[in-house]
Parts: sequence; C-alpha cells; structure tokens
Amino acid sequence: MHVIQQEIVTNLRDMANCGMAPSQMLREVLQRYNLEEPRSAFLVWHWYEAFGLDATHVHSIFGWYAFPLGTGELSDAQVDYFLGRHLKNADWPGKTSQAVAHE
Amino acid sequence: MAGPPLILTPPIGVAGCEPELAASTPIYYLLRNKKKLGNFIAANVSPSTKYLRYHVENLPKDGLGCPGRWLVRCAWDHFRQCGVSIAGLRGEWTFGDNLDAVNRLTLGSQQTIEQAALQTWAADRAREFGFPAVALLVCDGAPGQYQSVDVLFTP
Repeated sequence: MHVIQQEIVTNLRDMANCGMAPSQMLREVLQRYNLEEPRSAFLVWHWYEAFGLDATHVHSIFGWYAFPLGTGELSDAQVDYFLGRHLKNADWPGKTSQAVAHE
Repeated sequence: MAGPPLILTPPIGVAGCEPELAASTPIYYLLRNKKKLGNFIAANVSPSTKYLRYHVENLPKDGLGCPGRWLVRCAWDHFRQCGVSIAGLRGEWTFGDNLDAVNRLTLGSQQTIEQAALQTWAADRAREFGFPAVALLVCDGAPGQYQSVDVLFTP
C-alpha cells in the first residue's frame, strides 16, 4: 500500500507558484520521482493532494499520460487548458500571485 | 471509519485479473491489476460534495483483465465501507469512450448532451448504483465536437 509523498505535493505547489505550465509540472514530477505504475494514477492522487479534491478535470491527466510522453490522447496544450483553468481558481497553502497566471 | 480491507475476489470466469490495492483512503482509492499494466481504477470522493469520480482503464481491449464494471463496484464498496454516503456520480469527460459516445450521439444535434450522456457506459454504472438521472453541469465545444462534458448522475 502506498502513501502520499509530501515532497511531491510541495514540489507541485512550488511549480504552480512559479507559474509553470501543468504539463511541465507533470513532466518534472515524472523525471524526478520513480512513481509506481499506474503512474498516471499516482500523479492524479498527488495533484488532488496538492490542489484540493474539488479540482475538476484532473482526470485529463489520464488522457495526457502515455509512454513515451507526448503520445497520449490529450496534448500538452489540452492538459494545460484543463488543469490551468482549475489552478487559476484553486487555493492552496502558500499560493502566490504568480500562480494566478495559469490558463 | 474504515473497517477491515474488503476481500477482492475477481469475478468467476475472468482471465488475467489479479487485483492489488495500491491506495486506500477515505477519499482516494486505487486498485490495479498485477497481471496487466493498463488495467486499474482510480476513484475519489469529494468531502464537500460527496460526489464519486472515477477513472477506469482496461487497455489493450483484449478481453483480459479485471472488468471495468467490477472495478467500479470495488471502489463503490470501498467508500461505502469507509462510511461515505455518496450523493452522486460525476462524469468529467475530456477524452475517452464516454466523451466519444456523447460526440457521436450529438453530432448534427441528433440528441441533447443529457440524452447522449444517458447512453454511455458511465450511465450504465450510475443506474447500477441508483443514480438514473443526469444533469449537465458544463461543457466546452459544439455538438459532435465537445472537448469536455461535465455531468452529474443523481438519484
């Protein structure tokens, strides 16, 4: 059984605070951490933990994630649109004004 | 509070299904198939709305693995055992079979989104759990070409 890695949650929030695009944030997590399979599901879990369970369209990550990256049903631009829209309205501990630039 | 973990017995006659619980909390549930990488369910319940959302996969579509319908049942049973009273099932479709179905059925405005949503695989699951009604929350795009469709199945 797995548990949330708080370091990933913190990193996601930090990246969002810098105004990084969601697709880039996801790529960074995949590069830095050796997530278990299904990796998309672990990404989604940490995204919820970082930005709240009322987040909408987080499941677009499942459509975006495919190996190799970039071959999923959803493009970077699409996942940026869906997740960025939510990030703009979401609230999380330490949210900065730069994070509002999403979408 | 959660009771003892549910015993996950795959349906009879199913090949290639060896379920393994990867995450199990009162708000997030992940059940994967040790025998098939692309076969799992990830589900969560919003503490504020009590709506269940899930994503189920069984790829490639080769007839093997844990059936999606059974995986949804496992997630449902898990949250119920955690004492969660589920108020509705959310469908937030940005890709996949349910969105494809809605686009196919709404092409040329043959049907409304609600009518189309009721003919999806997700609607079958919703009826199974006592949520036969559907309401459109928001959508992006035009009939036959929706980029996203958000619906809510209710009692």
